[in-house]
Amino acid sequence: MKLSDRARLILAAALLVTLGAKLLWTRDAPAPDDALFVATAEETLRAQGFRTERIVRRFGTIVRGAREGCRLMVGDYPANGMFAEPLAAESRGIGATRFIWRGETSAQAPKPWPLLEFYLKRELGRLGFRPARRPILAVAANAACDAGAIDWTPLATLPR
Amino acid sequence: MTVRAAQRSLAVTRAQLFYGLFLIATLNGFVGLAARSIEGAGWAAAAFDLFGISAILWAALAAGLKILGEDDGTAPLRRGDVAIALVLLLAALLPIPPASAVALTAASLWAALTAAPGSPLRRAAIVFLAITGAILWGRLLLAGLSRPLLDIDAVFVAGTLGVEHQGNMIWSADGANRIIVAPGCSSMQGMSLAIVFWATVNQLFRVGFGWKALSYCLAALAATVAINVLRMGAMLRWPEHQAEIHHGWGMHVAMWTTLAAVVAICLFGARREAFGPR
Repeated sequence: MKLSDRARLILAAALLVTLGAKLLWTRDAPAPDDALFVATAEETLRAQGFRTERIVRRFGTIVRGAREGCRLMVGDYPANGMFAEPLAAESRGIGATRFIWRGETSAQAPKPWPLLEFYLKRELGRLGFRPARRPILAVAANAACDAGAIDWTPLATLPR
Repeated sequence: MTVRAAQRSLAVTRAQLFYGLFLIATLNGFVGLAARSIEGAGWAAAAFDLFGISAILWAALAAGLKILGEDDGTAPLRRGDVAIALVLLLAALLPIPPASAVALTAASLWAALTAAPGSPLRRAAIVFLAITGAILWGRLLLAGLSRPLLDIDAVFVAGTLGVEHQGNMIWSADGANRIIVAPGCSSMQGMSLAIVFWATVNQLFRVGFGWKALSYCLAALAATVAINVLRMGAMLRWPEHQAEIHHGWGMHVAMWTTLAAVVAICLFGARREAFGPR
């Protein structure tokens, strides 16, 4: 099989246009801002009377809070679920991990929708858009905490 | 526009059309990885690193085009080819690389299902379909099923070293260290590339599909998993060298050993067709 000169020219032009546009336009999508999550988590808990402590691990930073007998922890749970076990290990001695996403609390981490949203926003990020992200919160609290009374609204949506 | 009118105006055969479509969609599908590599390391270092794209994928692209080059050019365009071409070109124009990978999947499935059995177009389509597994579907599968897939790697590592694991987290024998199997460390990454190379070799040398051919694919997959499990096990066994083994020389040793093993197994499986008398 041989391509005619005309076909080669059309192919080269198509490659130039499509690849050139992508190389000029697309950038690596910015990673979620872990530091912003941690700072917001601390502010959120302190505003509700908690003393906070950062627990730095290789997989990420967890924020622990204490107020009277109530002890809790909150971490940023990635949509692909790869840090479920390390977060569960950190919550041992506090209580079972619950997951909060879009105001809904569940015992099992939500998967398909957060993952789909993650990929859509990542592609938008590559195009230069900066859509807000809605992190999944991994929260564990001991029996002395009224977990439902804690307001997690500032962590529901983060700018990056 | 009728198929004949399209063929007259385009002056291409079916194989020529898909040669262009596969090339455009594959390179546009690669661009996302390449852009990340260029942005991270610069043009020269990225080029030296094959733009962050495995040598297996570049070889598969070259082999797929070579297979299409064997076509005698007699198959005319089919109804549906022009629509596939338009959709693929539209996807390639979008500034979203995965759109091209999705379009490549559709085009290669269409070509594989409609081309004559054993024809260069069908063989090439199988190669390009396998490429989409490595650049798109394997990654999505790993993200969607991360828990069971990452846990399987952890089971192998824990079983090999005789240590404890919970989910994708593995402890060293003394419990002092732990590693977490992340998607980037998963054997799935290497397995999807092993499948691409196996499909490429088998289609390039016209190896018939059957249990024997499949057994070499399984052997290549097993070798990929074994080398990755040994690498992760080494990270636990020698925690003082964890960084080097994870993303330094250990990663390169594992990558090249896997490549050599996969190439050797797949070529051995196709030795009669590849090196025997024609």
